[in-house]
Amino acid sequence: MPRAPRFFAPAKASAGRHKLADEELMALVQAGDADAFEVVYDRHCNAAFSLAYRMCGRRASAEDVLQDTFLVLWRSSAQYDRSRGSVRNWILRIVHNRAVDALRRGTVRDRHAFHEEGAVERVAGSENTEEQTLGREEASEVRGALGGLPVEQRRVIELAYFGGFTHTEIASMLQMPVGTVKGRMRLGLAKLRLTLAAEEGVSS
Amino acid sequence: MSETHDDLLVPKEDCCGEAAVYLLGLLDERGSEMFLEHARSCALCSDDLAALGPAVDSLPNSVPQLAAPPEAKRHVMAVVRSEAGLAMRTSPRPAKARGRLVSMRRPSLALAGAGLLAAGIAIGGLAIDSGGGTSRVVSADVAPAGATVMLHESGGHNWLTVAKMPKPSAGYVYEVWVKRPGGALPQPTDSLFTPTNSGAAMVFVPDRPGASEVMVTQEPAGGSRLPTSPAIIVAHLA
Repeated sequence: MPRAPRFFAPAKASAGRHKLADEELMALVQAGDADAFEVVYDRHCNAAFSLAYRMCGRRASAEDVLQDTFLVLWRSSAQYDRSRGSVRNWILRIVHNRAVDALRRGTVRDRHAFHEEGAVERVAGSENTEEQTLGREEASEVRGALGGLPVEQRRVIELAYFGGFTHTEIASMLQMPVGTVKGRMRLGLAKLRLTLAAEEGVSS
Repeated sequence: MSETHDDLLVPKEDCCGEAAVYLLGLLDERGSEMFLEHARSCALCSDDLAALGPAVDSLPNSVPQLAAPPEAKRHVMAVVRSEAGLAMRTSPRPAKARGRLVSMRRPSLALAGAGLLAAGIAIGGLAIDSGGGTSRVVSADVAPAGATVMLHESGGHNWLTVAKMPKPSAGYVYEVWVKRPGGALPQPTDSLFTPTNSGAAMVFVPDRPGASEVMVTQEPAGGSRLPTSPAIIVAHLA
């Protein structure tokens, strides 16, 4: 009786790798270890999909971005440099770039709206691991900090980061000079950074 | 280094906002290169990059967390396992084969003569389970240049994995067909697919006892009962 290909029964094959840190897993991925890649996928696929969905607004487009992102990760793993940031941030930057590409190609129809299709499940609340709890706390802090920005600063940041609009497009859309848009982006990000740093200081 | 509010919030005349524009991903490749070149010699932009980067990296955390669809993982891992297996087999390092390597036969080009395949035929095929399971070799004729296809067979079930496959034309999908030896017409299946932007897809091929070929054609959305275009993939079952 032939055995099933490993990609249909991954749990056993990658069991030992679950204990490794992301950076250690990436060293294995760079050597072509598909089991290590699968652990990285499992750890970060929800965050990647969530960002893609927030930007694209459609499940099918977000799924395309998700798959493309992880295939880029697999095929370009040699480009990962741990001195330049965490694996998670690297993955999310790839997601962001791919989603912006999709937005600018026009494969995502409505760049202004965020559609809740209702077909996507939130990460199950019953799986209330410590990691998820910490993730929710961090998400709450970031949302709070973002929500605390003056609306004109938050708006340019959201249009740029989540909407994929260029600073020139935003200036035209909001009928203001490009320099003002750039200044608001910088000021908003600076305030966000300081707010988060202050909250981090309080919680640690 | 830790910034004070004054350090970070006071607008900087010369390059104000350039680092934010770069970090938010608004510059194209050329623009990014030019900015990074500039930042190497500009203390203000260099400081902004370090100071504002964490804020941009935090933005994805503000998004409601959703569960990724499980089918996406199946697609990705199918491609990854296939490529890992190919890399292992083509590695110059002597390595102990984990699967049983069966001889590969050249793909039959007879179908091209029969008018089923377009010009520019690339040879794909050769699917071997990379994970130590049963080896299975098939051959396939693949029309799109650069595309590769693999047919995984396990326990009597077949899975087609494609990579670098162009998307079908707007309003069209790819449809999987199976053909029996000597059968004049291929039989339609319910397997319709569109590759991802990178050209990847993994498709279940329904069981058809006695089938000798698996074919893929481009069909109008929803699929067809008879092929309306030449086959762009033909995989020969043993």
